[in-house]
Amino acid sequence: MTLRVSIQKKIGNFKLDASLECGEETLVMLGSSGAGKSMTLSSIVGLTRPDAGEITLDGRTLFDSKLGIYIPAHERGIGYMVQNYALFPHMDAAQNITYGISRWESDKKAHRQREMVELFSLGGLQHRRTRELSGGEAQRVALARALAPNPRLLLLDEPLSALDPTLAGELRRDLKRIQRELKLGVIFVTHDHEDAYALGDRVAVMDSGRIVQTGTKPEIFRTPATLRSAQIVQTKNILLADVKEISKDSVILNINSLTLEAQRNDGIKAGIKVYVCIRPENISIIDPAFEPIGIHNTIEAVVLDELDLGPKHIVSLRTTAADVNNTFEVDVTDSQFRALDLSPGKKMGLRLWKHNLHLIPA
Amino acid sequence: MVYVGFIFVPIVALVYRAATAESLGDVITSPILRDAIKVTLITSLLALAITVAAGTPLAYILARKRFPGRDLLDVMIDMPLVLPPVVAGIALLMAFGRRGILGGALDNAGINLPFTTAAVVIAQVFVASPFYIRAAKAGFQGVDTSLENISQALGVSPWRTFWKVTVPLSAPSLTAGLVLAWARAMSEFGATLLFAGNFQGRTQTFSLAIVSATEVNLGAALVLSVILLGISLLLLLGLYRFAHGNTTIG
Amino acid sequence: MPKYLLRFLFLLFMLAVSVACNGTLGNGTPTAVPSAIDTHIPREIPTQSPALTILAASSLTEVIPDIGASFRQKYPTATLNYSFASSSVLRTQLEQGAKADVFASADEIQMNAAVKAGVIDGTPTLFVKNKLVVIVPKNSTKVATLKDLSKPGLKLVLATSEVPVGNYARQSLTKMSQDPTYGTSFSDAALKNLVSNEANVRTVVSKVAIGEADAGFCYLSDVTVATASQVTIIPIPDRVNVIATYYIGVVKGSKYPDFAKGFIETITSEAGKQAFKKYNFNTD
Repeated sequence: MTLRVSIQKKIGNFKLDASLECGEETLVMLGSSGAGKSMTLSSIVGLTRPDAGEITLDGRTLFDSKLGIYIPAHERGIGYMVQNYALFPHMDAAQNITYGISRWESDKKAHRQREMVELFSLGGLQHRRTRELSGGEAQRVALARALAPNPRLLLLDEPLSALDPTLAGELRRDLKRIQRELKLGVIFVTHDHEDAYALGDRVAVMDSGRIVQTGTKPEIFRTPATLRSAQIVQTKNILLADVKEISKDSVILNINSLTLEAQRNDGIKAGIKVYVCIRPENISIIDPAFEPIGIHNTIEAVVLDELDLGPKHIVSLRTTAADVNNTFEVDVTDSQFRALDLSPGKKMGLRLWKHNLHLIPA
Repeated sequence: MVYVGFIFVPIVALVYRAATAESLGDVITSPILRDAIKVTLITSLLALAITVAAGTPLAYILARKRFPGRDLLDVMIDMPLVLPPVVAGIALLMAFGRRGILGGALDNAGINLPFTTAAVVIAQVFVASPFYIRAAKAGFQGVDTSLENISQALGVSPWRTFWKVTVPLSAPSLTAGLVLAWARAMSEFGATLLFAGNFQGRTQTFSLAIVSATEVNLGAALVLSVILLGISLLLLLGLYRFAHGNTTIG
Repeated sequence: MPKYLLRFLFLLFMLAVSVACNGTLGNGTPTAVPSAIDTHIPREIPTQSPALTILAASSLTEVIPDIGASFRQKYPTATLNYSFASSSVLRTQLEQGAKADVFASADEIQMNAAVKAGVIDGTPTLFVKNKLVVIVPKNSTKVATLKDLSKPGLKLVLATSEVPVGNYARQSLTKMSQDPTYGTSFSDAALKNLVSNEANVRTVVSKVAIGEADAGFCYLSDVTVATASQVTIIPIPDRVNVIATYYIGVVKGSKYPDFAKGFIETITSEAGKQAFKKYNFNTD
């Protein structure tokens, strides 16, 4: 299963220019709303006609503006599922599942229906009206319907955003399992970086109609290529710094009076300005009573406030140096939080690990 | 209750007066009645068929597509609704009459519409089709486009999607539109009288027969009116029964 | 009550309304005359400013308000409300209890029926006559003489036989058949060309004027100033013509019988005669 996409489309002021490839894997397209993710999906499925470019699936050309080829959606055989599931309200669950295989022989159709019911644990729900299904059940019916015709490629447009976190978690597991079992190509569109974390073999970051970066999960989350990309993957702590000097394996950075050391990285030269990206989970809060502050990438900071999310807390701290006015956002586990007794106004230290500082030329 | 009474009292009065009219027997056995039923049924059903065939795609396009002049077209379709029927008749004459804008071209093609049964159908389509198109458009707009999209992604062509998804989901609106349009076509009077004239067995529909009858004898007109009401009632009940049997929308 | 039944009742109501509306419109109870206000409800008005309701045949639509103006010179406090329709419709309305003061009929039959039904006070007066003519569209060559009416393929329109002018037209055709000039089959041949029975004489004139029909029968007075330029008049000789006789009378139960009589006097006065002449009526 290989999908190759390279398309352009202009609607008003918005310009879509997307290129991507997807194999037997889960590719997560991550971007804020309006980035062009849904339009890209609907171009692949055949519901939107791009202005230019080409789309091929396993060597079959689905769209080619130069050759004038445009295969309509109903001849593409791509599985597609949207945010509100779009179950047919005038049919029951079983009729929804077999909708795409209504022209199959009745034996084969019944067999396929049973397979799908089993695969998605829908036993007993076959004759329910769609409005009598819970959110999670509707979700699974929609997925069963999309997969019943046996597509090689499954496109999912924000399928988890209407679900509560527990159900979203279950579905993420279901999706991973099914992708592997059926050897599917899956493109999963979301604005939620947690979906990308949980599901993505690879992640494509989309911004303003362009795919700005594609890579493995660690690549995307730890080494975003652009400032925008860093923001989309929720880097949270981004500081503007001057590159003072470059040594054998280190880069020395200055933020006014503050000095930080980062790992050496191609493309960073002395004298340029860089964005220093630090993920909130990669900063340690230390107790100044036990460790010296000011050396080895440690900074003194005051606790501003905290947000209790149960298993984790998001803590905001501000640096105390008069000429460095930066607020940091740090993820702290509940046990650490209680051990450190973090309350607003308390002076703490921040340790920014050298290998966790990612630099993007400004 | 007041409203129900408001509808019922005139109808009950009409039925009562008709049932006690001296001319009851004469009217029921008269060829005028038979011809009026024949002309009305044939013309209104033809008008309905034309309305559905031409109006459905138009309603769908208006509900789904954006194009320049769409709003203007939308308003144009409503024009026959606000036009007094007599004016509608004059407008049809101006367009398709012997000296109308298209009259010359039609004449050259050997077509002469005024005073023919076809003219009755045209008048009915003109005044009745907006009711159907309006309702159908609203019905189509009520169908979530993502359902149609999903259907196509599942391998069902746009044409079959229309029949399997769009029509069943807009069935209540379509039925209501059909009923309104049919009722309007059967009761059409003003435009028909002007454009098609009044000739028994050819262009004299029920409504025209009723008005002609009022000239002689009110009793006969009342009897005809009640028969028209009765036929309409049966047809409409039948249509509703049919529509309810064919849709699963509660 | 099931939902569809409610919906159905609503539709039934719509149906009834549309039939009723159309009926009124097509009947030619006109709204064309600005002062024509249909008032069947008696109002409490001081006797010094009486409001008279005049029911008059459609063919009197222009001339009666004209004469009404001279009536109002004589009785400045009086108000006149007109309702024009075919005589048979007006007669039916009177029989159904319509409140009015004066009834002017376009023929003797309808007036006699009204008298017989007991809705007229006293003896009606013959006030004017009207001659039947054939009209054809201006510049049309299909009908040049009366004899041409029997040519096959022609489109002839008549008022329906229930309204006086329609009845007279058929009587006239019958008379022509009895006349050697036209031949015995003339009436049948002409009626084969009949394409529409119009509800009133006004639409007969309109259809000829706009050229949809090749010929029509109407009163000479129906050719108004407005339509005169669009039609050519073919006179019908008196021996095969049917002269319409117009009768006027006071409606029984009139609140102002004296004013109603005064109105009828104005109609039959010299000023009235002049007005009728102006509108092509025959006052001999």
